[in-house]
Amino acid sequence: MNTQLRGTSLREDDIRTGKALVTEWHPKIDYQFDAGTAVGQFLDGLKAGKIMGRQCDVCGRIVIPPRMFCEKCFRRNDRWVELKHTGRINTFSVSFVNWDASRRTTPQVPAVIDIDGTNPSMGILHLLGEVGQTLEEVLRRVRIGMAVEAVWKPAEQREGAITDIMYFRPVGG
Amino acid sequence: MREYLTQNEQPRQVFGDWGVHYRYTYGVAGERFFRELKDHGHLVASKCPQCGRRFLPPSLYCEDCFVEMSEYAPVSGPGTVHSFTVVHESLEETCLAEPIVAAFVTFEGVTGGLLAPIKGVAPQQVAIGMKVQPVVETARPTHSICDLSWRPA
Amino acid sequence: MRKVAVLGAGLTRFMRRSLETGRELCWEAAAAALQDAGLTLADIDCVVLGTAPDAFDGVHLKGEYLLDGAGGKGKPYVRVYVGGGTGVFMVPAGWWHIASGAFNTCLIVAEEKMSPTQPHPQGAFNAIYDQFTERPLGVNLLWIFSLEMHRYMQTYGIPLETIAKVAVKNKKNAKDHPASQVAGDFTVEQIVNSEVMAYPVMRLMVSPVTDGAAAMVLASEEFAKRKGGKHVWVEGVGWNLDTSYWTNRDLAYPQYVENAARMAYKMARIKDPRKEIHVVEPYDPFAYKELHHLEGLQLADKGQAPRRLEEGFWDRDTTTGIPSSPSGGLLGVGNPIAAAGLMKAIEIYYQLSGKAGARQIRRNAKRGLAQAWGDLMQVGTVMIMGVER
Repeated sequence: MNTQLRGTSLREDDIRTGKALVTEWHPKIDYQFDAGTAVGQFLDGLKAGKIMGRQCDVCGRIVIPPRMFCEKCFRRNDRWVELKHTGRINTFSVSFVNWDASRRTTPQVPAVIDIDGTNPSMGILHLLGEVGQTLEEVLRRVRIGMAVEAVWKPAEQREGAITDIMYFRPVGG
Repeated sequence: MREYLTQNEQPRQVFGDWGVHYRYTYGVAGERFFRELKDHGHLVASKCPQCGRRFLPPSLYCEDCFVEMSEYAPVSGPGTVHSFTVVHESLEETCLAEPIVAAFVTFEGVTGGLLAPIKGVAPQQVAIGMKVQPVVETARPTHSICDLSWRPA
Repeated sequence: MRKVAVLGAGLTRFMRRSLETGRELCWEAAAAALQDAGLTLADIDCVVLGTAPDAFDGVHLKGEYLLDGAGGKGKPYVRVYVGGGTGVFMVPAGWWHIASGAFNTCLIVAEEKMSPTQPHPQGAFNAIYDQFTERPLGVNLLWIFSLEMHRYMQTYGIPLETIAKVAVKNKKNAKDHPASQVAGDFTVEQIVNSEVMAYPVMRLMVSPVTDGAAAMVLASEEFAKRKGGKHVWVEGVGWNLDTSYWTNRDLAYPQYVENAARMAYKMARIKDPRKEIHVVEPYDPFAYKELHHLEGLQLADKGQAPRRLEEGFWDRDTTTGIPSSPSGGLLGVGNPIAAAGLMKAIEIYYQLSGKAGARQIRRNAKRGLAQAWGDLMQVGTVMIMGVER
């Protein structure tokens, strides 16, 4: 193998001092996404304070996030099912990094929460709240497998968005 | 049973954007091109040692011979308008105060060419085959292709 | 189906930010691969290019943009893309061009130039999450990995220190790789105590942002035999994707990797992978993933890859185990997404042909496997190479 590989490495300084020239592009690209039938009605359900799943009569699964067709049986599924507001933590993380790689002083605690009423038990992504402000506090408070409940925005503030549930917190406070 | 949305108020929409922007390096060949433009106010082309062709904009490699090009030399004008278009509308679909004449210009003995606006001439006076000279912005340079324009030779 | 041989390979250095544009990186790797194979571009019948999202380089139709640097001008040319799985997927893609009988030689090129994305390439990944049910939560790419890692650790009781040993091993192995970006000697403590990103992911358990390219030349049996010499053959390929409803999946086990591996083992007629695979390059963008993938590849029982790590079973100089990531992997060499996966496939080629230099494993390897993973944690791509036995 040739050990003399090509490639000219630049440091951030090389760009800052103009040793290497650069050009920038700030795209103005905006999107207006149509939610579709299943997710649209799911979001409507959230506005009304409900968590909705979909059921397929052939395999019997009750799924969330909802979809209008069963991807296993490859057919349209059959009905909406109202699920519980509780669930169990499948997994969680304690994040000190924002989307743009900048640091946070207080953590976000994302989690996959298996929602009660789904069959087989399956989850959605959401955030945990009221679980602490430091890594140590969160790790003391939260366990995988723990029961949690949804904490909702007051009805008049809900918009039909996933954030109508502010977060999930451990059952029993 | 089919569930379709039948009223326009019903569809639920969510808005989003791209979030990131970009900072591009020019590359080995591009760095040389823009530095020559910035420091000497001229265009350079690269030459393939195998087929002998010269390329504008210059490239690190000849795309056909697939060998490295390390010889750069200034392109001497005038260039010829190979094709052009007159732009009246911006990307946001507003009317431009002054139409822009965007011309793709080629040079004798050089493969390729460059796209830049022609200034100092009315759009109706521009024609394919017209001779032009490069003009490089020196007062307020951006060190990008926007520093380049053409004027009638 | 025709047999397919590997004739040569090439790489650029893997760098945090390169002066070179994506096209120039492609040319550097492709020209090096052709030189290694003793061929010119005129000998190449078709080109396959692999690169991860356009959003990284900030270029639309990136495959077409990179074309002339990848040697594709005027040739049958196609871009393939399965997220992080792309780099290893290049080998099946190149393989089917030749195995089908359509072409005799194929140049596969993988490229990534992530450094243009500002403020950080990570941000380009936000769009991987569902725009309705996930993005409004303020998502972050790292969550995918940290959530999966935590589930894996908790399910099998794997300590953070054990996972850190993957980073220690790979960063050390990478000291002998000429392309490497983040090689070095680290202790378990340094890895575990590095900055917490999204617990349980610590900074030194994550592969870096990288620019780089890699390329390989494949040929039909007839073409290879005319060239003469001993060859490395592509003996098995596999790929498989799981549902995009990632929160519905068992995160503790990569079923899609098992499915892809079984497809490749079947084609290679391998009945007992633990005996018949002598060297492995599993995808390691995060330290825990190497272990996760080794289990999916059937090279360790579920939850047992970490214990094997502690026993030295995956060490490069083992004579009784299976060396894993002898290259140094993504954790040590770098992670220019598509190019990183192909780098791993190239390492298998080097190990089997005795060209790995200071990284050459002690075991006499006759068959090796490279695997990659990506998208929304859903694709497994596998390739198996072998020499005459």
